[in-house]
Amino acid sequence: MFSKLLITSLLAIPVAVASFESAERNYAKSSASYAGSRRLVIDLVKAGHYYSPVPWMKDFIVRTDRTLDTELEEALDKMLYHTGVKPFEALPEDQLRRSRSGSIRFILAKKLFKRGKPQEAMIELNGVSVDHPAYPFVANFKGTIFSHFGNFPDAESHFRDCVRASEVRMGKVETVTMRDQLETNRDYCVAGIARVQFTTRDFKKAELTYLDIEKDSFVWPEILFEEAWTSYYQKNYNRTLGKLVSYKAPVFNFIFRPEVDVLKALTYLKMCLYDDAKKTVDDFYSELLNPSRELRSFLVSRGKDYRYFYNLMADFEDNRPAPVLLVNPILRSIRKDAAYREMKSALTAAIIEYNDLRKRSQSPMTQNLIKNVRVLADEYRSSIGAYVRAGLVSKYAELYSSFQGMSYIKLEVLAQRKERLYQSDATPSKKRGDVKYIERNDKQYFWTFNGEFWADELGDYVFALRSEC
Amino acid sequence: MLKYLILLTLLIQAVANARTTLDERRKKILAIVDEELAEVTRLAKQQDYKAPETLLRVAELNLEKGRLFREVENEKYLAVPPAERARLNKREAFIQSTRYFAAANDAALVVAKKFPQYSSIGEVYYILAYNYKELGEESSARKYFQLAVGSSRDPKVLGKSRQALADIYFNDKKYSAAIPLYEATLKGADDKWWTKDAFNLAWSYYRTRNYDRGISLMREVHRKSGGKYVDMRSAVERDIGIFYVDANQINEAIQFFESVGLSYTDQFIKIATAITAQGRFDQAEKLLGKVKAIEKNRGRRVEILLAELNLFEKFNRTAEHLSTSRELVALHLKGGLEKSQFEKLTFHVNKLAAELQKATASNVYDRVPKIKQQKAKESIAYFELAAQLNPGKRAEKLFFQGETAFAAGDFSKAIGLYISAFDGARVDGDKKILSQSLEGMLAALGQPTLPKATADRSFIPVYSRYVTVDTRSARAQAIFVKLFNAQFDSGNVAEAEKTLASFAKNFPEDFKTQEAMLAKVMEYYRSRKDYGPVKSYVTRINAGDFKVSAKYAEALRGLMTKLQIEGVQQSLEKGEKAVALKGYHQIHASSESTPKAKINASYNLAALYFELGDTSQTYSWASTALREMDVADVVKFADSYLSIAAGLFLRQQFAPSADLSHRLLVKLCRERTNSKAASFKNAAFIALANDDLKKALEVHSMAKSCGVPEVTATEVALEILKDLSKTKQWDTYERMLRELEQNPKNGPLLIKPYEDYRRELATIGQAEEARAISDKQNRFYQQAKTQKLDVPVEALDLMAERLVSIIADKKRRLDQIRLSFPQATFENALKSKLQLLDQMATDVNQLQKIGSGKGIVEGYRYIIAGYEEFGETLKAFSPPEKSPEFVESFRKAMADVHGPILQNARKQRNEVRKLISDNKILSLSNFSVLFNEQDMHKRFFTQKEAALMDRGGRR
Repeated sequence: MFSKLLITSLLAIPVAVASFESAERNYAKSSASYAGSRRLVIDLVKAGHYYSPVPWMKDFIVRTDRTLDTELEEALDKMLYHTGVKPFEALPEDQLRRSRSGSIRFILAKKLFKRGKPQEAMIELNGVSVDHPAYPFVANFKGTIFSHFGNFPDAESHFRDCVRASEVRMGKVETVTMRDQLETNRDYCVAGIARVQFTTRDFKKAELTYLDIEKDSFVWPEILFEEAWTSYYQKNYNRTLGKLVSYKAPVFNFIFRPEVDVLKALTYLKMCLYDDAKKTVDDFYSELLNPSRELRSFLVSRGKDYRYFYNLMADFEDNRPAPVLLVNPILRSIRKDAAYREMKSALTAAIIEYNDLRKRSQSPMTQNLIKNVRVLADEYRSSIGAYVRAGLVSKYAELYSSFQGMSYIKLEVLAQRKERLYQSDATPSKKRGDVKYIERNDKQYFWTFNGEFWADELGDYVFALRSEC
Repeated sequence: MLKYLILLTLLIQAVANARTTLDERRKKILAIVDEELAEVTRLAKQQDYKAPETLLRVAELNLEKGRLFREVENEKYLAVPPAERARLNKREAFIQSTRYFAAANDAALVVAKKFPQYSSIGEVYYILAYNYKELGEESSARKYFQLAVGSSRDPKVLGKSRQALADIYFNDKKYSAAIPLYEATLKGADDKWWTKDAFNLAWSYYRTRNYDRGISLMREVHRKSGGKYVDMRSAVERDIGIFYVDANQINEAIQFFESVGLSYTDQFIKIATAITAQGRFDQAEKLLGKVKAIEKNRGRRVEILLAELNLFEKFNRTAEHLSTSRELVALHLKGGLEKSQFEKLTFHVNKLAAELQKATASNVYDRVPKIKQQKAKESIAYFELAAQLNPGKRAEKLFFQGETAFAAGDFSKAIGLYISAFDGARVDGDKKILSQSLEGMLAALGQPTLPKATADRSFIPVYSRYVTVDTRSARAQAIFVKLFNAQFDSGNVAEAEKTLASFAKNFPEDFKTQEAMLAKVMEYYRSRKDYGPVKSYVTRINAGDFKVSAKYAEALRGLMTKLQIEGVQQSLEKGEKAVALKGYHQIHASSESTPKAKINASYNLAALYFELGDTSQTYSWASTALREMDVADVVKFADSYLSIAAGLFLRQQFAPSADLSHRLLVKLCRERTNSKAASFKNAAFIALANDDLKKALEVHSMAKSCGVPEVTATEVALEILKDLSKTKQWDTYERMLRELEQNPKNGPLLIKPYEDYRRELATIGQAEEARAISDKQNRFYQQAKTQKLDVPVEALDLMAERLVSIIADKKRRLDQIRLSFPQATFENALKSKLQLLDQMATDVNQLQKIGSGKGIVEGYRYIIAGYEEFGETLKAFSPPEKSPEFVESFRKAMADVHGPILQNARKQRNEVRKLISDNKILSLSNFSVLFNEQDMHKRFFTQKEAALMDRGGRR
């Protein structure tokens, strides 16, 4: 998503046309020389063709052992803004290192981090200057890496830097999209701060920090779950349950999160509401056990056929449901992912560029560019397919983990009930809910839940159950 | 594997639920556990059985189920009445819980093996250990408790593991190992089990000789017991005494017991009893020993001694038990024990006596005889004590002592004890013991290993007692005999005679035994020449006092005979023949003498008189003896009779000799004895010698019926023929010849007898018959030659005589030929003579082949005479009427003829001389061939009835 923020150029279209023609001339003269290739890519990017020259740009990076000059770096950044980092992620690390581009450094850091080299990743990220457009995202990434190392103060510091840089950058961008992306990045960094606080068991602070994320934020639905956990750890179980019940609101129907039920059962358990806990577990099992098995079989049967998964999502978006029931809510959930949306958007833009090229006179360069876009679109489709599959697998893993969690909870419920029998004290109170059991802080308001969901109330519901412990 | 393990758990669950009755609460718990198991199973499956904690949970749940079921099973098991419970199959009773424990174990083992690095492995080990403990596998339990102690991170599990391991070490008597574990368990713990664990720790201190810490902790346990802690006071009170005792702190122990209001003696006895039950003999013994040393109260001392009895009995310290029993019995005899004490003592004494007796009687100690003897000795000692405790049963105890000695193989001792028991029982009138002890002594007496001297010594005491109880049974019958023999063998004949009398009275029909006894007694007296009792017994036997068999009666008579003869024979052996004669006469004349004695006497009288040369008395007594004596004895003494008969004959007592021989033959007629032929010949020959031809014929007539050998009969017959010939009884003679002729082998023997008969026939003119006999004789001779049978010399002479008569006839013809001239006549005569001489020489050669000496000499006599007479005649012949020249010439010519003839005559004479000499020929013709006519004066002719010289010479 951040790649879309790598924007530096606001070139006018006549410039672009001129550049395309210039590119055609250069292409005809010396397409094979280093200088010729460089000029060609720069001209095409200047001409607003970001997708079709991608293979050439990649080829250029691969073939030359020189570092990129400033003009070329700018062209690359511009290109990345539109295409996203995906097309370049496959490039070898040593070739990526040739670029001083902040965006390429970001890509390289991502690769290194994935490879278990966070230190090297950090070095690459440190190479991105504060005024680079990608910096807010780099700060976010750095906070994440520090968190990973358990260096929570630095982590929080970077997350705060991220918030600040994002907000600064938000004031400078022209497009809404870019602003949204920076907002999202900011909110994630706020969440990062809250997570650090949570991890250091400063639940009170964490709770307050979470509340700094607006309900209309793109990330809020998932942050709500973390808020519920925070309440849980504060033993504010009624509030936990209240936050979790928000997911029942139709507005959240795109959320597929088995862990919500796990936390709900766990909360009941903590309140010694064993029957409720057990019912939650049993409902979860009865609702999801067989579908999850089907999902597993489905995933196994389809293997890594990314095109299939791409088509699956495409069909779903065309309101054609998946063959396996549980796949639909997961696809719905994936569809809301920022990463998915970025790839999908890039693919759409690539197709637009493709169509645009086809309308032109079919010079040799145009023909090659068309070919290039076609290849890139295929890569996007594969990436989307892979992402969809990964999303399904991830949800399956989440389900798997949730089932285990549910089992543990049920076992704990049973153990507690058994213990009571051993103690011959198995008479729970019949009185369940009461306002006095609700704990509040100064950012929360008390709302009595009347069975309806109001957008404003989401996340603010509070249960009034008496603990039976 | 794991899948199946969990499946198995579920199956067990299904089965178990159907089996055990559970209360509601347990049902609910089990329902939850089942749910948990189901959930864990689901979880484990989901985790592909790779999560050790889930598997551990499976183990824990199974363990929990096992425990729940074990509780139910325990209650159910304990609800069964003890007697019925003893018959229950414990394994079956606890089968459900055992299955769950096993399932838990399997699951835990899987975790332990598959996930050794699992963070909660200590809990797994604990479960395994606990399960093994429940399953009774102590070594495995120990192993896993050790592992749990070494690896548990959970303090609760660690504590439990330590405590369990400590208990295991404690139970295994590894106190040093148990101590640190107990100490760690107790450190900081303050639950209700503190006193229990501390109690074990105190014991561990004690076991490691840390008495002070042990005592101190014990006192603390005692102090803390009750309230929130498990009450261990009674255990402390029971055991602390030992601690004090071993710490040599008796006074402190007494103080402690007094401080808690307990009698230290009672307490020590209680402690001793308790620890005895635990098998701690030494401590108990030491404890009682100490308290005994300081306790002065008689009643309590008795209690201590009784406690010691219990102790010694339990631990088979028989020697000590016996010693203590003796002490108690002595105390009882001195002052009398309380009833309950007396009963306990009696119980112990009787029990040990019986057990030791049983041990003695068993075959357990057969290979260790020393131990067996020891046990017997101790048993006997206990029975003695039992007798002292219960004098009214002394006889019974003595009997048991005897039984014990018997079982131990000490039969000598057993007999003595049985006898004492018997005598005691007789006094008490205890018939049962009387009978049993009697049986015992008899059995002991019958043992082959009983020393002979003892047996000999015991026979009379035993048997004499037996026959006071039983005189009628078959056994009594045998015992009478044994007693009699024992008495007799020991020289107590008077008692033996009483036994004999008693036996005869009780078993009048047992002839055989009475006879044997009588024989012994009578022999006893007889051997001592004390004939009075013998005769008395004979008289009593005859009077019916003793019933004997006919055979025995006969033997008795033999004895009497023997007695009667014996003295006389001794006189004879001393050479006192007159005394002997007198004695035999008395025996023969005595009416008391047995027939045998009389026969014996008559025979001996015959022998004696024979020696004395009194032929008349000899004949008389020999005849008497022969008459009285049975055939068997006659056969035995036949040679003597023959000798006597021969002696009588030699002393010219022909008639008595013949009669005796005849009598002897008659006696022996049917017997197979060599003497029969001799007596037959003797009888016949002596009759012939006595000119009693009739008798001889009578004897001969017995030959066939008496089975006399034919050779003997023929020999006698040939002798009889001679006498028949002499007496001219030719009819009898001819009949006898024909009888003899029936046997072809008799042919050559009959040639001579037939000659006598032939001559008689010839004499009376029955030439034809005579010639027939002559032919028969020749036939007999030829047959004998052919069959190579011996031909009697007389027969040979006879046959030679016939050839000699032919030679004699030729000699006569030779003599009748006269020499005369003319020359032709002379030459014919010469020729005829020479021919006759050749024929005679041929005949003489023939004669030599017959083999008759007489015939040969006679034949030679004729031929020698023939040659000599012819030679001399020819030598002397002078042709008449011839010129001297002629005559001279004639003589010269004749000299060549008569010279060889005379020479041949001399040669013939030498030949016959050699034949006579070589063949020892005695012939009347010897002289004529050995000597010349001029030697006639040297010839000696005997007178009639002159005595013949015996050529045998000195013998």
